[in-house]
Amino acid sequence: MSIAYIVRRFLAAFGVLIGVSLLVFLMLQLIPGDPVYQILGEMATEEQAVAMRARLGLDQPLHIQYFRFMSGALRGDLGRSIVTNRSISDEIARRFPLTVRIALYAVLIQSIIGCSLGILASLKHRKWPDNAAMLGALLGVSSPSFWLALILMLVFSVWLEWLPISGYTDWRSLVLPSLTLGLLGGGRIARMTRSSMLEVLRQDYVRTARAKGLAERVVVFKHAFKNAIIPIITLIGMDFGSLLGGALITETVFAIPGVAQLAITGISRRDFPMVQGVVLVMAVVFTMTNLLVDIVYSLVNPRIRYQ
Amino acid sequence: MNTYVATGKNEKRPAKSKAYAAIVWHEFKKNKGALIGLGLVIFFISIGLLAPYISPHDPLLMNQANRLQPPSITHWLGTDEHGRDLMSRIIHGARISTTVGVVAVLIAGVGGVTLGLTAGYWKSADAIIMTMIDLLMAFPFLLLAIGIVSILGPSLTNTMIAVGIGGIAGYCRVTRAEVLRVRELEFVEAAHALGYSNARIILNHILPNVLAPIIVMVTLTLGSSILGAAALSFLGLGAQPPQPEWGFMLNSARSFVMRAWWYSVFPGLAIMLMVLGFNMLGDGLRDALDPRLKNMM
Repeated sequence: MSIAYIVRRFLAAFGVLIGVSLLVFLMLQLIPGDPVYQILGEMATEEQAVAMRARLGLDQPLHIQYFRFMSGALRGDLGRSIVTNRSISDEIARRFPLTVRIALYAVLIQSIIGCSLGILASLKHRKWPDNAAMLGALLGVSSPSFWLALILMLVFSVWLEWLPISGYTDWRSLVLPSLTLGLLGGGRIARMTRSSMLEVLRQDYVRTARAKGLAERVVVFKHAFKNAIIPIITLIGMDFGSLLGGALITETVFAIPGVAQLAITGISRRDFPMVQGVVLVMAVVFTMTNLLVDIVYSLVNPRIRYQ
Repeated sequence: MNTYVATGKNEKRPAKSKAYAAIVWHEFKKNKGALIGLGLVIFFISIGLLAPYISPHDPLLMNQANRLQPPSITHWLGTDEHGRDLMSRIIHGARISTTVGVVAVLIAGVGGVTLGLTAGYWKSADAIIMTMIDLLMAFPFLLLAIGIVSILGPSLTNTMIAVGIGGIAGYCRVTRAEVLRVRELEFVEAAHALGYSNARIILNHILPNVLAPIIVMVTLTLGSSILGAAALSFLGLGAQPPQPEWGFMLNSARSFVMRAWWYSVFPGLAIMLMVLGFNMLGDGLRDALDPRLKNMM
């Protein structure tokens, strides 16, 4: 059963990836007006336009363009930047690790903050720690990441001078970008942990565990939290994608040379192949993470496979 | 528990009835957070509407002699790098952010609800629409928005479109799930038996009964749309200078973070309070309209 589910899930993800590649490919076609003149400006000569059209492969029929795009992408070749003429794959490969690291540290931070606040809130249900944790979570959901990033920069880099203010030198440069996302994401996880824990703490087996005199610590972590953790894992997994997106923002605030710079300068300089490359790579990583989460989820929780 | 019984009983009645509204209001006003949220939302909408009358200075008036002044009696929240009054700019920014939020949610809501109604009602359309929606969801929200803005070009209008399209998937899924539940109920069967047209069944019989979660979603996504649009403007892909947009103001403030703390603090505080208002209002509406939704959103 499990194998069948995993195969089905793989096939679905494969279908989504084909669709994603099509959409990203079509970005160039969807640009209003002629993309060639969008790139070169209205003043471009006819020869320049013809050369650019050939360079982008736009002079070919659509299905051949897609075939070229895909066969390139599958070999890890996303073409060259219009502006710098550098290989797009190389640029992304060089910068993507920083973006992924920010997202991964953020996952770690938000899991720790979210789970501990959520457990605390569920144990002190409707008392002040619960209210305080939920207020914090609400503020987290409502705050713009770029603002919190600026505030953290103001406090830790400008006033306390503990951490670098911008640019990338070593791991310390990534502390604030990750912390920003972790603090905000922690709010969502805390809400989920709290409601999941409240559900579990009501169950008879928790009452039994308490009645037979087990230490509260054992009841909470071994009996309750272990059973409450599944929806939390799903949320954390699904969050990875939005954290990658969020990393684009905090990278910009702290001037970290990750993929955000590529995408944003790409858009402002009309470097469409570069934007396509970044969007494609991030969407693929996002889809694969979701696939991984689903599979892990089905292994942890056999019930899901039968649905 | 009380809440559950009240709205549970009410679920079978059409959402239009007066008693229903009374019960919802009764539940809603017991919730302190919801009232605070409502207050914040009303506050921001009013200052947005009244911006030209209440802002102490011209939000666009530059005065180089006055640049980066800390908060004072004349400039309560200080000035920016062109000597413009920050408070006036924030007040005018309320107008932009509310408009952006409303338009984006309109696009997402109309698009998503139409698709959701279609997918839920006609099995033949379901597979195609949901495949499209899955595809939209294969992109993280911000990435999708960035992709759309890169196609359409950076501007405030295109930001609204991008954020709106990014929100379609959520509305479509919620609407479809509700339609799938409602379409099996007896009154829909009765409407079929009476020979009513599909359009009439969908608009008069199904739509009113799936409206509660959509209303809740509207308030909650207003907050997230405002955040999303501000983020795009912050990245320089949305509002263009000299528009007093909060996200873009923070983008400029970034360069002066060492010298002018007020410039980084206040525009963001405004975004946070506005979004907080919509979120608290949304949570309150959700609890009052339909407690079942608590686990869905």
